Amino acid sequence: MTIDGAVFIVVLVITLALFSYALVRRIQYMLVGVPEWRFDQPVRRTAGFFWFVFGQRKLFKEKVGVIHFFIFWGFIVIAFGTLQIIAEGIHPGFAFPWTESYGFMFAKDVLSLIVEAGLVVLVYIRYVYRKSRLEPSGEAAIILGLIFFLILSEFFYSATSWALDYMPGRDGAFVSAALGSVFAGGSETALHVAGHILWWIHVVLLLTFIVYIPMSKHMHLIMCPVNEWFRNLKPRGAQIVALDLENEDIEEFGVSKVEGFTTKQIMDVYACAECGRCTDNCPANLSGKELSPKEVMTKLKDHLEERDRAARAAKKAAPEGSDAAGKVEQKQLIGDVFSPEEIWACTTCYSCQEQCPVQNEHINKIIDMRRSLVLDQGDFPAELQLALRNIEKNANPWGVGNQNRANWAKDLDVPLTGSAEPAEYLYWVGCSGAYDDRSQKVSKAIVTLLREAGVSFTILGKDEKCCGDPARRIGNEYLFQSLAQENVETLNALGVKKIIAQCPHCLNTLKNEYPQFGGEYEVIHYTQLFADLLAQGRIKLTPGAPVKIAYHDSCYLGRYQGEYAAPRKVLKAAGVSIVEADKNRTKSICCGAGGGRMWMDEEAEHRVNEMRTAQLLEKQPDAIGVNCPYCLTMMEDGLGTIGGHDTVKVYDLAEILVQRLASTPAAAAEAALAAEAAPVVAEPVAAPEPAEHVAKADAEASEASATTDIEA
Amino acid sequence: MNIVVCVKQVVDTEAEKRLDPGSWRLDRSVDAVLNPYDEYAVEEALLIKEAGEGNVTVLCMGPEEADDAIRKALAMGADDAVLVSDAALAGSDVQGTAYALAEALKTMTYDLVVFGSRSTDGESGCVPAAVAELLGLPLLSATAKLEIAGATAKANRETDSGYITYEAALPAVVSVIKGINEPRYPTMKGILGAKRKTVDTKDAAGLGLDASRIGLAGAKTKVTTARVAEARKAGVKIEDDGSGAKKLVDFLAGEKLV
Ligand code: SF4
Ligand code: SF4
Repeated sequence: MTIDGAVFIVVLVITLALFSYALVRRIQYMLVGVPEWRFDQPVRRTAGFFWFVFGQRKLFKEKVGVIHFFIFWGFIVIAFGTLQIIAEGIHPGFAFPWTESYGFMFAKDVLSLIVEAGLVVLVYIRYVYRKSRLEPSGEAAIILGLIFFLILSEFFYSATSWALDYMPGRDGAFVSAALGSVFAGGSETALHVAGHILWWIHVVLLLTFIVYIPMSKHMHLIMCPVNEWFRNLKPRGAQIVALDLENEDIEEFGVSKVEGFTTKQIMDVYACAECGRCTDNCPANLSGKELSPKEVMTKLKDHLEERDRAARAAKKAAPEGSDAAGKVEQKQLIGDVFSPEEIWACTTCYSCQEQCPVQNEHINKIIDMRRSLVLDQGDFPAELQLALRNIEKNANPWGVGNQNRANWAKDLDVPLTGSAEPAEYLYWVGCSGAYDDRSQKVSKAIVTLLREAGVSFTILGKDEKCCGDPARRIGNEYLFQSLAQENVETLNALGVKKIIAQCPHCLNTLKNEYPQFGGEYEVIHYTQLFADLLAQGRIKLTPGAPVKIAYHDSCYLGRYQGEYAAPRKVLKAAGVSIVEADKNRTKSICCGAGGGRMWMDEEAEHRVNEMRTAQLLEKQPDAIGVNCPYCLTMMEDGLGTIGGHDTVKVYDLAEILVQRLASTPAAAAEAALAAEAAPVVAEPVAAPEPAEHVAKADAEASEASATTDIEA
Repeated sequence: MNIVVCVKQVVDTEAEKRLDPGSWRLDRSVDAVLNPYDEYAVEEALLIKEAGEGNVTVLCMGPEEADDAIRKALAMGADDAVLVSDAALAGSDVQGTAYALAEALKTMTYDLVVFGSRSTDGESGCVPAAVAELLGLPLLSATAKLEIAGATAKANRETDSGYITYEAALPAVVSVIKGINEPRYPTMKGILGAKRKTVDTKDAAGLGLDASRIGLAGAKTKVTTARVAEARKAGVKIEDDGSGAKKLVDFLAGEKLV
């Protein structure tokens, strides 16, 4: 062994010790969480692991992902070159078998060159072009520089050894061979010295890189593969974890301290590559709010470090044997690390998780903190308290009397489930379809179409209660579970099997969340049913005016259900031309109403709905097509505030179909179209005002004042 | 400081109300909730307790189903609850109700009795006064702000032009109006705790109530009829086709408003 070899081994041992220390510390941070290890379905996990890690599948959602693909594979191949360099330094003349392979050495240099070129592009994107999602940070510069010079030093070192000690196989490494042939004429001593220096440069860079991995965002090199294996395999709509509310030993509901998160939830922060894809697609962030899903990860990571440092410092400062160390003042997770504004800004649109290349889960962290604010601290926005009270009292967020739930269908003679012949489908109208003036028109259109196609269906009327989607996403798991149980009880008692949902939120909750409470149904969205019925020729349309519809993918039909095709089929069948927003399908931007945001005030300058409406208007459509009652309200409000409602209308897909029904005379259809549009012009907001309990009480009390059995 | 909050269960304001045409009594079987004004009373009591020390007891008169309303108050944070329930009490008017409540209060220790200013179904707003009278206690009614300092209660009563501040020595009866505070949203701990608490139920005999003063028979007032107010007519919608302003003015002129 050379002296260099001996020194190297000492340095390597120190490096590995430092590396292990940094790594173990982070693993310890992870272990403060509640144990959660997902070992179910190992085959599927392993298959996905290869697909996502070695296939880099999620990175290709963006073009620059290609560079990452090459850097990833380049790295693996280059590692073989590096191993050879180290071995040579320790034991001169040693050669691994792969160094004899012309093809391998060739591939290594090709990949190395691609990586070098890729790094230059990345530096350009991050520091010169300044892509918004990427921070021009020092950390990134260190990493990019380390990799660049690691490869460069390998090229030059290999060139010196090529010149000194020619081995035929190594001609494959054409870059070092070319450089080597330039050096070949030089003095041997000079080459030896140069080789020696280059070897050490390479080794120091390598060891620095190794130590730097666990200390930086490059921890993702280690944790991302682990995170991929442990990824969430549940359907997207079933990922919110049910709380056990019967368990009387539970001291805390939701998460108010980082220890309340699970190990897997904390693992996410170390898998995060800080690529910013999540934040770049987050409607809350894009509309100028404080929330950034990337920071959900990074702030949590910093918080874990900071806590640990504070605890250590306190322990050091505390006199021997005192327990002061245990009482160190730590930052509060809610309040100091995350502000309530951040926590309440999320629409649960799933875009962050859709875009995240390392399968991180942002939404459950946010919902866990909301649960703490709602269930544990009772400290949350008044508008949400009102919506929840309304749901508690009247089973709908508007607080309209529940006995009025079927009023919209008064003149339609829609049979109620149970009181009529058993029908094939239950049509689940949802709170918006039942109470919101504008959405009631959609409900009526759906009834018209179902009848046209001869589909047998019933509705629940006042037995239908809010599905619980807003309550659960606001963090009120207690209210959600009671609604779920009541609804499941009703549906099971009536023997309901197949459900058509009008609202994609109801669709998701009934389909994905009710099975947790014993409700197993076949639930479809009406656009899915209509796409089939149109294909079967059971709904006959006559082409209307050739209008341009900007179609807006809702989050809960799109990203949550992966249904992008059916609504487009429906529009195609209707003969309209679809114009796509720049951000469509998986990258569609939320209307702003999910996650309970429908019931919250939006500051004028940060409105998600205005942002999305503007994106759709850019395409200069005649109308905007939606499939969700929330989107309908939000887009109409958006048109109302940013302007455009005098030329552009918002239609639900069901309305577009009804306007083109062959059985409706064209003139009548045109008239219907005009009539439907008119109120929109006059009153962009058609939603009923939330019933403020006492104010309403004043107005209505006179009706019931005749009773005096127990006075107050 | 021992505080008793008197609460009532009412039919939700949004619910369809049905009156029994014989007795004109309200069908209470649907959508019953804690009287919204009483939420302010419970909150105020809890705030006073939290500012110092003490105990908050809810006192309710009503049928057994009123348990739900009591649990709501307990979930908000009240410590104990007493329910006065007896078939003989059904149909009591203001004075009968006040008599029963006053008799129940006599069996309890208290420094302060808090009421919501009225109920959303009975609407008389007189029970707090009648209870104060029966107990010989001072009454601070329609309170918009309440301060307790030592053994005195200081209350602001809102008027159209401002407010008047009153003071009374404890024990006293206070009725609070909407807006005095923001009633809290019960936490999970509160809800679970409320489920575990036992409600002390008392009947007419237990309180030694005089049968001639309670119930429908003992009522000094009699409901003769009740009528549901006519539903408000739909408004006039004016669409702006260029002559919107004129139509608006014409409408207001037609209603003799301008
Ligand atoms: S779910 Fe949507 S709104 Fe919430 S953090 Fe993710 S991207 Fe932002
Ligand atoms: S959470 Fe995912 S998408 Fe967001 S910055 Fe981290 S790795 Fe990128």
